[in-house]
Amino acid sequence: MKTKERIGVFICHCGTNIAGKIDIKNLIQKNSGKENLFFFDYPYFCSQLGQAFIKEKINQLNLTRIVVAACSPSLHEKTFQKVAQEAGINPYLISCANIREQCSWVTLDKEKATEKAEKIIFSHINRVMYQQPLFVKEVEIVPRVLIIGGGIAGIEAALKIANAGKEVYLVEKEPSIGGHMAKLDKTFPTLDCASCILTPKMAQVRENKNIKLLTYSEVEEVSGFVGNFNVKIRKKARSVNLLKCTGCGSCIEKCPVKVDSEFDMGLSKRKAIYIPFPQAVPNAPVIDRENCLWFTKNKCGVCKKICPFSAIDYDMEDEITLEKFGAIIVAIGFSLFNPELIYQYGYKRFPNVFTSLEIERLLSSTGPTLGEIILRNGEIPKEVAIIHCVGSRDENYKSYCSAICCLYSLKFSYLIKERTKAKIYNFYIDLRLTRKGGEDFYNRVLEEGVEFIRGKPAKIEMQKNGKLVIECEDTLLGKIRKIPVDMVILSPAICPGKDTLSLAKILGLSLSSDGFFQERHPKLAPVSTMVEGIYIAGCCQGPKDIPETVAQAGLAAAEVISLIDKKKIEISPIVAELKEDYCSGCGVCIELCPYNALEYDSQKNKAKLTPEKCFGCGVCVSACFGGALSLKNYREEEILAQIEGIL
Amino acid sequence: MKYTYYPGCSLKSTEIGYENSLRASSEILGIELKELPEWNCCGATIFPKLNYKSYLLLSTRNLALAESYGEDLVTACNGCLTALNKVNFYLQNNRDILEKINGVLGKSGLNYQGKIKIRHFLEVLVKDIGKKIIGEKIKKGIHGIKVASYYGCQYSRPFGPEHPENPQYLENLLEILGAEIVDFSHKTNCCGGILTISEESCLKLIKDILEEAENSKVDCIVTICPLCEINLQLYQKRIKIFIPVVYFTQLLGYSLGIEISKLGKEIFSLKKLLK
Amino acid sequence: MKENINILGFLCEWCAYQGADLAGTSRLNYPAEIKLIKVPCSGRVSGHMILKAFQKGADAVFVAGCHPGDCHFKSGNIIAQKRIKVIKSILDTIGIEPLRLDFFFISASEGLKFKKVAEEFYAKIEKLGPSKLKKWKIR
Repeated sequence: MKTKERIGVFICHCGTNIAGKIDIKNLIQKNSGKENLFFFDYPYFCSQLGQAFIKEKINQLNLTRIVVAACSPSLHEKTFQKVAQEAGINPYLISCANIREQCSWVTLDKEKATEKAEKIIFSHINRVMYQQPLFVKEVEIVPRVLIIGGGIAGIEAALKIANAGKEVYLVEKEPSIGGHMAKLDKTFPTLDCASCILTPKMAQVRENKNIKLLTYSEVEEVSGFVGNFNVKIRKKARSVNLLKCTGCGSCIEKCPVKVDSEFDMGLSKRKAIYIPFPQAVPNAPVIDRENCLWFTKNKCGVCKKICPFSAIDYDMEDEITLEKFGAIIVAIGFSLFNPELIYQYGYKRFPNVFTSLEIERLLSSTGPTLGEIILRNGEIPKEVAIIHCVGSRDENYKSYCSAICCLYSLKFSYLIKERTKAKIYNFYIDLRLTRKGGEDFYNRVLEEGVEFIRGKPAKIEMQKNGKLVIECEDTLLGKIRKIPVDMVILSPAICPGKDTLSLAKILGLSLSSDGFFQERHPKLAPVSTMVEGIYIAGCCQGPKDIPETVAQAGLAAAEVISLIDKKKIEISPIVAELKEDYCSGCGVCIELCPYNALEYDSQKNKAKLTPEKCFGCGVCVSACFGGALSLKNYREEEILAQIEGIL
Repeated sequence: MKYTYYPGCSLKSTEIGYENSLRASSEILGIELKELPEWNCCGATIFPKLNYKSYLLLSTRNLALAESYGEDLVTACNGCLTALNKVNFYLQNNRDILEKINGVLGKSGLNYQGKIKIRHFLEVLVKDIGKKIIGEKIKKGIHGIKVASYYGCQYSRPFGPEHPENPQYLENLLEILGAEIVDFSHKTNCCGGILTISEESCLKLIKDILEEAENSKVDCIVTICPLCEINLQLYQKRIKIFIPVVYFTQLLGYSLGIEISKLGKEIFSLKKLLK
Repeated sequence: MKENINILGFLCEWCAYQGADLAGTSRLNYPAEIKLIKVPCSGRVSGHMILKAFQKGADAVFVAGCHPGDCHFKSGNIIAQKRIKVIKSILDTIGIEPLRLDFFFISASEGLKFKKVAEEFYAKIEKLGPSKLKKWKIR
């Protein structure tokens, strides 16, 4: 035992909770002769007087370390750490011995209880000898937020945070913000127009001085930690100067190239220079360099000649910008399951089999058919089938439920019936109508004469006359039915967005088993991730409808605002420590860290630790063969000393 | 190319034409087929329902015999293909059962290690032999003949080398022979199997297939399984739809220059078109 | 004289330790020879600690962590469980019966389970008797 240290051992009676079982007086008497150990007892150390007593003794006897033998540290460790600090001792030079919940309250025999208490106390005396003073680190938080994804989730979060006076960078991969919601016609169940509620928000984003909008841009690299993220953003070359362009559209008119429109789900054509949709923000065109004649064959150049404002710039290059952010919100949305994978449903093989998003474009008044529901040959369908759960709740593809399909299938049933007077069939497994107004809408749709068949279609066959015959077991009737229809609408599963995997790697986020971003806690922390400072919102976390997306965006915004308002962040000192000299670069620890706090430094051929990312679990420490890693406050020496004392 | 050949009961009895055309074609293409000596019936679909243990023993006996010769086991019957594959899969995933069965088989000096692969002759033709070699040996193509490829239900489900809903090997082969492929939506539909289950349901299934073939205006239906062939042909009088149903090996044999008389009775119904 | 059986348990701060505390609050009794040490995560427990425990006189050691999926640090408990399995296989070579080391999943709300696990483990070790390593106890 080092003779410098003077250890105070404070044994609490806790009324009779401890004193009633453990013979404290005897224990103290037995050990009072020991050098540099000072024993005290008191009825309630957690009380004001008790705490004052400890402070008094520390000052009186120049104590350097403390052991408090009382109730569980879960209750009062922080209390006694504060006491120590106020008395001038580093708060991490104390150790709490649990002689109540794990001794006096669970042992019948008094003698055995006293013996056990003594062992526990001495194990902590041993331990505290090896403990080191630790200091909480304070880091300043950069008061700027990065939001990746400009759909409704990203837009909502951006507006909330910007309105709270914080700077926001909204990065969107596509040439315009709006996401999938901009493609929708009407939203369930109020059937209000999606654009009408979305475009004002998009305009607000454009006008808000606190929001810097980076469209046609992607996040390439992220390093750092909460409060201090270093991000590399690539602003792809739009080929159009946003400051000069007025959105007049002359360039688009004259462009000779026609390509399938992504916004219209391939149902119409767009030009090589194009604005994705009329209400796009920013309302300026972008040149699709892969299809533009100038960039592929060095021909044409008409748009540049025509532009009255000289806004076309073929020489524009991608711009890389490096920025620092205090927090990041990921809101990259979803992608739709490709029904081509289910061969039997004939998607892309038969002309009149559509996906839900394609139908949204048909329903839209600014879509390829200006809102008319017609078949590929222009005829109005007389019978329409809507198939639920295409790819969802399916062992072969996605096992989960996509949450929104039943609701929008009802919407389609209603709208299509209204516009075409067609006979509508819904093929379902179960009906999941959890939203407000869901059941009422279902009843309304039933009243309209829409037929619901409980059974998943086995296959769709096309007859010579173009009729699509759906073969299905009607489980309620107990019969196999073959129903000919003109148009089939598939409700495909909601899948993770295309960039989910690559973004997860860039940000160090983990994915859940279904491929969406993993939240920290499914109930109590649905928008937080295991990486402090990075949040997720919307469908990138799991399939959900617009109201739930908006709620999550709001929650993420609140988390970010409260984080940034702290201005400084306290980093717990109970983190890992890496001794470079001992590291052989085996890489075992890097694989194990759930927070990616350890990386491989290829230059030094060793592991590199970012202590600010460390949460202090110690898994890496126990895995390190070379003893290069240690966990502060739980170092090997401390625990081994505790083991020795307790046995 | 060498394979161990498992004919199955049907090919040795009423469907001898199938075997003849298969063997004759193999000879020309350089495929060596050694018939599995002392093979026994596979039990197909009915027997396992009657006596599962005996079925396992019987099938494993075939597999053990095949394993001792080393090559892949090749069959031309969907029923045999599935029965043997099912047992193989089951044994590979239940080693304790395999041990027990080996205990019994051991009395005849047999032991199965689970290493055999069972394949359909169609797959061997398309994957192993391939377009080039077959193309080289073709003497008379079957140009202008409209065919409906009918795989039956057990070729691609639950085991099989191809997509369960959209297998293509038969179309691939018939294309090489010069036939006109008609998109046949019922190509993996069930033919009803043995009519002992329910005559009414089975006849309905057969009717569906024949009707679709009639509507598609094909000259013939091409099959790859003796039971499918029997079902589709035997009840045409009852259902009152008449379409030639031939084995793929018969069309193959014809293209390779073999005399029609040596290919089996089924192809006679196409005689007029082939001239 | 019957020698006392000493059992040392490493409990993770977030689940198992709280479970043991709950056993205390519920006044559930278990043998006094079972002593407990808190670690931030069951994954923090190293082979070194376990072997030291046996060396210093433990007749048995157990590690308790959160249930799968509940680990405060994502999957430290799974790593710990795997590690214990490996160490168990090594124990045999140094003369310690593998039964003397075990891993349990105990949540913060499982006070009763903690008592049962502790008692059952104790009974099992009592049957085995003191560890052979004890006579080489280095004090």
